[in-house]
Amino acid sequence: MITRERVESRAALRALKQPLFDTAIFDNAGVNRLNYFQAPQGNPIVAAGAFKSEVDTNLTQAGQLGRPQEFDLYGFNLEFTCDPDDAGATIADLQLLYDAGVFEFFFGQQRPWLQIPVQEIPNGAGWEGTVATANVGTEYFFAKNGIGDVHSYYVFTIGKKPIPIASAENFTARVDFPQGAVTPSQDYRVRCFMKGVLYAAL
Amino acid sequence: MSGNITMSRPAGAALLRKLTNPLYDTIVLDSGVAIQAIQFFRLPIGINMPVTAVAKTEADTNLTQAGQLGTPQMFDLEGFNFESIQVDPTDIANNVADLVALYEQGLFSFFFGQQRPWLEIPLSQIPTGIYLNGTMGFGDTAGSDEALFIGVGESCVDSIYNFTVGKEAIRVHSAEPFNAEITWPNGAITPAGADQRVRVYMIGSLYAAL
Repeated sequence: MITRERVESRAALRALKQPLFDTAIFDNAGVNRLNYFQAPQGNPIVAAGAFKSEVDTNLTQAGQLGRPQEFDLYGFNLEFTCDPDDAGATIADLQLLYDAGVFEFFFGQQRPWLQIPVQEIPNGAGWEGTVATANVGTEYFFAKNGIGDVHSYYVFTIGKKPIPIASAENFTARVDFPQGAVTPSQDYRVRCFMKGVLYAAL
Repeated sequence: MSGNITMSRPAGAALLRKLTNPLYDTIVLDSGVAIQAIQFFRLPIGINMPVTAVAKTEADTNLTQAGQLGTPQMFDLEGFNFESIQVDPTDIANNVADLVALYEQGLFSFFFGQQRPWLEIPLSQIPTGIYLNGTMGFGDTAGSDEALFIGVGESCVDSIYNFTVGKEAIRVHSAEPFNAEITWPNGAITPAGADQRVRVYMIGSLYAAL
């Protein structure tokens, strides 16, 4: 007997103002790509053997949300964490990231839905304020891309409509350095945020 | 069994004032001590603040019950601020180190009930809101003056982490348990400067008794 596949029952979900995020290391061993949303919690974040915790990413599956979660995508932030009391090195390393990097976002594996120089992706909320020192030899540096404002993000919507992401839909983001690998002077944490609304299980 | 089974009486609906008044709570970070997690909205006014062992006042929190509003109050939650108060702004080196430790790998979580997070987000995404801001200049020939006033996000009253979906605030009922916490899942932090006061604000409208 031939029958129709059962229609999956629909889950009741909570709508939460919760971004998806993932962290990559801007590695002083040399970097030609930063990959996001491919290695979920529990996977290595660096070769040194550290494993991703819930502060590194909130994805629990590689490249997808997992059932029954859904997401409405509004835009992106890319957060670079400075080393504020090593201004010289941080300035040079920031330039490496922002001068040569290209930010890409994909649904599926190969087809880019966004391809744009990294400097167009704002940091979002970041350190602001005032520092003054008269001490010889001391320096402080709190730079970021764009003003450190919670409302500052790359808007990816068209006509104010978010892009829905279904539970099993594949997505990934990355920062590529197509002109060749770059080598920062020290390791930095660089976090990618997908801004939007997460629909989570009750 | 004698007698009738009846329904309990419904509680009378109180008359309430709607106030633009956040809920807030403060924790003191103990300098030189490893800290893995801090909890907010669990110790109301009158209970001793850990570290200082002094009873909390209305400068520390406006909660009068642990983890809930208490009848007949209600709250419409719109978002969050997290404030790190630099108690010694002239100690730049330690303040900078403590800011990096606090924010770089801190995770902010908000819960209704005990276990189910409604928000789990890197602390760097929770803005300070309004804080001391301005211009400084030192001409000290001894070269020893320095000061710092740093926050996350612009020093602005409308700089909050907006937690509403579709601009609709989230209603917190009188007896509904809630709490916030900051954890460092990648390893404990050890603040180096003076004991630091940190505060979480739940921004929104408080419905208080007449």
